Amino acid sequence: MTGERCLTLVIGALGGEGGGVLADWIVATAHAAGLPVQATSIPGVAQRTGATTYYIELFPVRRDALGGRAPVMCLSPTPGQVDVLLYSELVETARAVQLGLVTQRTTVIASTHRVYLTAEKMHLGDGRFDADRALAAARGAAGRAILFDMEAETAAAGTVISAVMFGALVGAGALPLARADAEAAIRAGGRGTEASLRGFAAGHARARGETGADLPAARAQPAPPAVPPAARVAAAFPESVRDVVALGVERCVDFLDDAYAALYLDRLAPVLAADRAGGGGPMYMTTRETARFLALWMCYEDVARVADLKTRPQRFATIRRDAGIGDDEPIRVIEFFKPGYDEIADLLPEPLARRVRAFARRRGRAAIFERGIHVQSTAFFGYLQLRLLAALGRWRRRSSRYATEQQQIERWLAAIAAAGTPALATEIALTGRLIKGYSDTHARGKENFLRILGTVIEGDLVADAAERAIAVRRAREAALAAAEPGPLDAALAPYGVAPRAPKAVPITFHPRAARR
Amino acid sequence: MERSFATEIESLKLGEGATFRGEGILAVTKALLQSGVSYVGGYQGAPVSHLLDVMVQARDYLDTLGVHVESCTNEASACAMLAASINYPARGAVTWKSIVGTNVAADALSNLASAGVVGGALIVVGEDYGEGASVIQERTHAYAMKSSVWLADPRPNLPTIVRTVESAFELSEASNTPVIMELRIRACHVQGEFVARANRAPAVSTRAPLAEPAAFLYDRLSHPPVTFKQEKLKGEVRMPAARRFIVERALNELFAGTRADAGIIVQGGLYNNLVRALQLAGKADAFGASEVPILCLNVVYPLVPDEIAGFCAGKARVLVVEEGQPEYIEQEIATLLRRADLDTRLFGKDLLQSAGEYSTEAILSGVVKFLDADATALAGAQAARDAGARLLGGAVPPRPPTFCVGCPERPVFSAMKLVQQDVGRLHVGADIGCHAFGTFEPFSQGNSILGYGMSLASIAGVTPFQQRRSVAIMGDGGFWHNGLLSGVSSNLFNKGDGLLVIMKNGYTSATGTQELISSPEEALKRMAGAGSATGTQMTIEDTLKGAGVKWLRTVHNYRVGDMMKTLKEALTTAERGLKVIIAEGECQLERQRRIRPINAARQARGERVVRVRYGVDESVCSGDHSCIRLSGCPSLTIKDPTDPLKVDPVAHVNNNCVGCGLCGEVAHAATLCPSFHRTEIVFNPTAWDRLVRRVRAFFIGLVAPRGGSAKGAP
Repeated sequence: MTGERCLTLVIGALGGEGGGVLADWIVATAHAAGLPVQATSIPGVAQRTGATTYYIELFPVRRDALGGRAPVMCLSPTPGQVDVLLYSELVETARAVQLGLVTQRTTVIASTHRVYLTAEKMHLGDGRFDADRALAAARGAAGRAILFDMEAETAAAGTVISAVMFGALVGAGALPLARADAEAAIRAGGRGTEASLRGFAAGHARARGETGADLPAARAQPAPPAVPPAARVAAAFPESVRDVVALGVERCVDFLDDAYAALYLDRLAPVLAADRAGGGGPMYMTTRETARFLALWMCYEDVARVADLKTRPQRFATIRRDAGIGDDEPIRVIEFFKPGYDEIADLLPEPLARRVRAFARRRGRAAIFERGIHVQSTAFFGYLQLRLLAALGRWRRRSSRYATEQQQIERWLAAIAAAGTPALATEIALTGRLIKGYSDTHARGKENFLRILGTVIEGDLVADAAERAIAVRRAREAALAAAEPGPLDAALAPYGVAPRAPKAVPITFHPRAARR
Repeated sequence: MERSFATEIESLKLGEGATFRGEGILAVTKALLQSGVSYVGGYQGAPVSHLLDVMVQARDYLDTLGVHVESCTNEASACAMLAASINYPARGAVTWKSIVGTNVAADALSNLASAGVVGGALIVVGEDYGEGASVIQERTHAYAMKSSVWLADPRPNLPTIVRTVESAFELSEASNTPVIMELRIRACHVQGEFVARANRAPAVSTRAPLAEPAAFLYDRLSHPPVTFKQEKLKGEVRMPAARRFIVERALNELFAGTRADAGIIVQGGLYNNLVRALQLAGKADAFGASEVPILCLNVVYPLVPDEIAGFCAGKARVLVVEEGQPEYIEQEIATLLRRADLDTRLFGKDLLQSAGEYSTEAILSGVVKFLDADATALAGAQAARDAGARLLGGAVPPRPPTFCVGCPERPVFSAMKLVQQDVGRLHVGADIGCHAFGTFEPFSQGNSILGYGMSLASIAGVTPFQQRRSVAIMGDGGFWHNGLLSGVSSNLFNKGDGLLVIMKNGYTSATGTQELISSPEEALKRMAGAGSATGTQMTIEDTLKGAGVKWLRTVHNYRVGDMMKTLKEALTTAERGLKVIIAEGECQLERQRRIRPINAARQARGERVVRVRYGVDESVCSGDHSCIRLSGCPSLTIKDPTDPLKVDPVAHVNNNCVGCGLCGEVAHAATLCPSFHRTEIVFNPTAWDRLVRRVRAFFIGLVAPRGGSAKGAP
């Protein structure tokens, strides 16, 4: 005794994306067609940037043909019983798949763009959910999948994503909603009508395959280096690593000079030789990853480097582009600096640097100016200050930090050369990923790097090379998983490495107030 | 207030025969007016905020009817309002979120229930249970039973909800007992329609005041010795009257079926899901025509023994579909069946899950077992999840709500996180409000949540055995709801120690930015302009001083360095006693709502407008994301690096940035990294702006490295 049933639609949106307005439009469109319809939602605190869902049921028979009977409609979706899933974000779509809301009965209409979760963003490396996996899951589970970058269409139409979603829903034709009724619903809503209609039309066209490819935006491919690889790179390095090495050379020249780039290539040569000897495979993974992290490490970001990067003319074009403005509006750009004694010491020769560091320790302060300084890089004097700082980079070779970094780089390269197996050599090369950030973050990354280097890499805690490669990878992943030492300690513990002693924290005693 | 109800107010005025279209909770509001309610009160909270919000915004219209509306400062004061119906033939309705609100109101509720009412008294609770709930999972049902007040749970469609409101007042008057109507979250937000009736101006109202107060009548006090008599009245007079009324008005609905051997008794609120479950099991059609007879309880307390017995008589098996635990209704029906000596076999929690929402699938699994029915849909649901898990190959990480872009509460947690790097980990008493998002990543702070405004009270037993001071976080909403009395006064009285951080953002923001006694007045908002309007509103500070707080500092939230210093001082000072830091910064939602239209209008008029946003220099960012671990701002996100050498995503500020400045402050306070910058964009520049730009570009061009024009720089 089942017969006709309600058509079901689940809408997934994030707070502020206009999901409520979208639900209202759909209800109004169904009303216009004389169809029984019901919408509900759980906004609650989800409106504060969390994920929220709206659920709509509509009956595919006109109310006046039902003889006074009213269909009983549900207030929440049932896994396996969803006709259309309309979602504004890729990983939320994956979540719907996980909940069983997508089956062969379902038409999935979803945006392929990402709004990252805090957990993805705060990772020390790359904690992003695999977008390809989410796409494949949506395609694999759905009977029909209409997936495109709705955010891009939204931006092009200058509207809110809900309008594009609405257009795609109506365009997909999976529900008995007429375009004319839908557009009338938008008009009746008032406010931003024209932009909404543009967004609606864009979504409608995409869903019907009239515009664009039904493909997600491909991940941006790295741009080729500005200059073709130097002769030495082309001659000495295999095709598969040439792009990275050429970029490394370019970076070293930019950082210091040609001689520094030559040093870079000299350092890579033995790695490549070992890679070749070990049958590095067509990709030369060890050489490639060493070339990458060696370049980034050799071109470390000291104060001079940062000042240099911040005063490049093309930087201001980027700022304008990011802010979505053209060349008409004047801008003021204010930089946040909090130079510490360490950063100053970094630029000085070792004997002087030692004194500065000792002075800082005596004062018990790391920062020179407690409040930090603001420099306006769009004003002449601010700009000049930064250029002068940048000029200090020329004397880098005499600086204390240069000496330290080169010595540690050599130690890392020696470990790669001594690895013995390509797998282990690659893993050691990849540990270079831990060297990043500034001040405390940089110090912690370096500390973790040296800890891994000094234990499972250089020591003989793990005898077997294959086993050692696994140990190095686990340690690296643990160091990238959290800023706290716990995971790395846990990853190293099986190899007999004692956990780091906790940082000393001063204890303050607060005697209880005297009793009344 | 976050939302304007201008259109909804118009639909509240609809007359006889017109069609009302809208949200469930607004249908309740309309039904109150149709019932001739004299006074309305309540405390905001999802999912019932809109009931009160629309009433507050509709004050002018309600005034023409003579209806008094009050935004109470907590649920206890809302419930106590119903005392007006003890002595006067005035109908009153109050609303709050349950179970938490009912807990706060419990004292007043007991006293109200004991004394009884002469005017209809209705409590509309948002039953925040199941998916999407933001509170502990308990049922309001227990309160109805222990206080002997009646509980309605209507079918989730607008005509039934409206009819239930109207009859609830009559039921209340017929039995001299307050009535609670519970609406689940989705029922509050369901969009539907009903045929309206004309609003009734109440007989007793602000427009028709009484000449004299009620006569002294000891029987109306809930005070011994009459409390003993009142207890008797509950069981011997009021409940029988209620049962008579429920039967006479057929408040519970019987849906006949074709089968005589089995039946299902269901809470009204679950009726729709039950029908869908039956449909999926092949036992009903889309219109609710079912093989199995259904007794739908739109009033779930009290039950009417004859009605239950009548339904069960002659049936071999009956299933009770009752959400949540324990199964009060099922137990009562079991007793009724024994007393009536019926041998109908009773099913319920043995076939249905004990905990959690009764979704269609949950009910279906019970129905399939009860009727030995088609389990295809049930298997399909599980198969869909299994297939999803297989395709995804791993769990999708959760997306908890977080602070809005530019929220002034985020910097306080940044500062707390940083300070703990120096002073060590702290015990943090968390509270209810937006600041509870501080318990999520990236802050993960808070050791307990004990209720709204309870944070300071919840560390009273912790502080004495800690070597470091403990911290309580409280919003201004929580402070006025309960924190001042339960927390501050108790701490001062007991000469306690500890640190209380009060987020003074000016509104109860989590529930929709409703106003408080300490909300900035219109004049302050006008004066504040684009700044924070809460800086000069001193009600909280004055109150604390008056109560005897000696160590009191007010810090502007966005000054992370100052906040860190103040926190550190509070945590390490030798001075004894309660320390209070007022973390001042106006709710960004309210601030943006105020300044956006002003700026847009000015820009449209061609006036000079400066927009501030923050940015990250991609070339300087090394992709370690330490800034994100100290901020978590939604507009501070990540993107693929354009530098092909970098493998990890780099930080990126998207265009939702409102320029609050936290990223720059954190970069400063934590000495993080120099990649942040502030950009001030001048729209409609003046001639002076243009001149300055040209001069700057000229001189910068002199010292700039080659490779681009210096014109774009300023």
